[in-house]
Amino acid sequence: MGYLELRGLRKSFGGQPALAGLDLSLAEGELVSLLGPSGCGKTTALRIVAGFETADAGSVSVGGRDVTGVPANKRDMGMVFQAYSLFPNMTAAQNIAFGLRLRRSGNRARRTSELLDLVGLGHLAGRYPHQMSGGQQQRVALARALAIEPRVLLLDEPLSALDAKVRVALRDEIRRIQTSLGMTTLFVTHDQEEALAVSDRVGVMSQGRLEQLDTPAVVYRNPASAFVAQFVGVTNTVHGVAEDGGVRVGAVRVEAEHEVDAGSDVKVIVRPEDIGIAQHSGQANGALVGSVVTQSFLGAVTRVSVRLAGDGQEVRVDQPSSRAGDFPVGTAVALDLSRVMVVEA
Amino acid sequence: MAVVVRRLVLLVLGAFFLVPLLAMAEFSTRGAGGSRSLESWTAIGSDPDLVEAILASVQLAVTSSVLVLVLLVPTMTWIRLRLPVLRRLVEFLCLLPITIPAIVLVVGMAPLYAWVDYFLGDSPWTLTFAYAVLVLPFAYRAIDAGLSAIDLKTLAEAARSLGASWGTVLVRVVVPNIRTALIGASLLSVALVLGEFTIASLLNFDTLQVQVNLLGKRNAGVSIAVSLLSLLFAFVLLFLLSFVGGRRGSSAVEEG
Repeated sequence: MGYLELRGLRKSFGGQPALAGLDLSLAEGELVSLLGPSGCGKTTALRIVAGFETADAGSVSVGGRDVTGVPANKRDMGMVFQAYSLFPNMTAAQNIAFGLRLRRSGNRARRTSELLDLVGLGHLAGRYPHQMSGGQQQRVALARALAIEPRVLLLDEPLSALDAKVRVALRDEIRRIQTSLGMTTLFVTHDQEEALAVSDRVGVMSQGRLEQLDTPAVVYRNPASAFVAQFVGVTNTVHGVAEDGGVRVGAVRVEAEHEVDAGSDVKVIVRPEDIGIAQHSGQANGALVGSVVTQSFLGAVTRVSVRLAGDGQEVRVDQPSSRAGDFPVGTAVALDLSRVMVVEA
Repeated sequence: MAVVVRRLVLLVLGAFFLVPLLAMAEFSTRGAGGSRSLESWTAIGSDPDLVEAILASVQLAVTSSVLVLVLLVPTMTWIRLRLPVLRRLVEFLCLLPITIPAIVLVVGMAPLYAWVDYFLGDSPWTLTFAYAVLVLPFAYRAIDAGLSAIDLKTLAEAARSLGASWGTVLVRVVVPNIRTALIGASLLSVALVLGEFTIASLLNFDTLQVQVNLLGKRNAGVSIAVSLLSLLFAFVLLFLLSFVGGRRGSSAVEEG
């Protein structure tokens, strides 16, 4: 029994299903990300938890109490929005104190300055939203959500409007604050890097359902489906034909475990870092060979594109940049695929 | 060259506005035998009917703009948040009065006002209902622009998640952030109500404009003086309201 529990949530908009029976359970103090392409239902799920949408079926409970029919203002959920949501007529401090004033809680000034310090903006208490940068506004929004000591913190793509550097810094800061407060948090994002970096568990969603819910490492290394593999991280997809205990790609047999009937068309999914590459000359001798078409420098690694001999499919291989000089464009190479995933085409 | 053109335009426009006002001032201060006299102006205060009409009009200006704001702000907010399908319909209904001539409105309202008379008496403030309809299109446009300028949905949801009731959302979040639009809407309403003649006259209410018209028939000097006074009052009001709006806006920046 989790602390935040979503059971059998269904919701459709104008006949289009947005959620098709979503079950999700968060332990107390856990940060779970919902990750998926736009339209997968992740935001709808979050809005149902917040009380902004009503589910067609299913229930939401927090700490064992059913809150399905409770209006949004009585749920004690702190929420940070994608759009800048600070009240424009109030200063940073007044924004943070808003929820406290509604609750008539004492020590508002002390609590407000504590929260401003928590998000590192103690010096900006008197600033109005239009006098702050996007990152600062989202920090204040986070402090405002935390001020009411919510039972659950809901983050609806809070970083997507920010530029790359601020995004990474704020993401780490959210994680630090969330961990130190032990705040149960549901984080919705379409950015897989963000989800993998900050979450205890990542739920990958597609078409209103959870495809996989597990720790970031498991989701990345052992994706439960082709969708998860392709959505999380970078993958190559190579076409082939299934054989017993392997796959035939062009004229070459690649060893792989799979449960597809021999003879049917398959897709071989493999990550760029799971492909070995070596210079090669002469006959193929049963190896997967090709020639380097392009190189793109990505910093620590360089992504080498190889066109396979025979059927001309392209495969991207990640190599440490220090080694990439061994494979200039035009080099004949042999590839070694490991950790492949085979699915029906 | 551009400066010359600009000054010329200002001069022509200024003259266009000021000449009639100066002429009114000149006419209303004419005394016997070509002398200057403030007789017409001092007569304003000593005519009890006129004073009463002025008070009635000012009162109507306040009640009408308050009524129209109290009706429109919650309705328009709710429709934007919860019933967007109705937005076109409500916009159409609110803009409708502008297409109907006042005289047609009066013909329709006359039988209605027989009942208003019967239930609420015949004090001029019952005109509030008619005037609220009259200023509806202008107030709607102003408030609509104000609501469009803020991210209403996100602000309302943020306030809701922090524990605000819908009433609190309206009073503490929506109203302060569309303040300029509300000032604009009430200014338009006040100006419209102070200048309204047709409806008041045909429904037999003694408002400022009705009295001005009556006075014009027996004492043109006082009538012109009152007209000038009401124009000046509207200018002062406009200046004050825009000053209030502007001052608060800039203090927001200074405090930071």
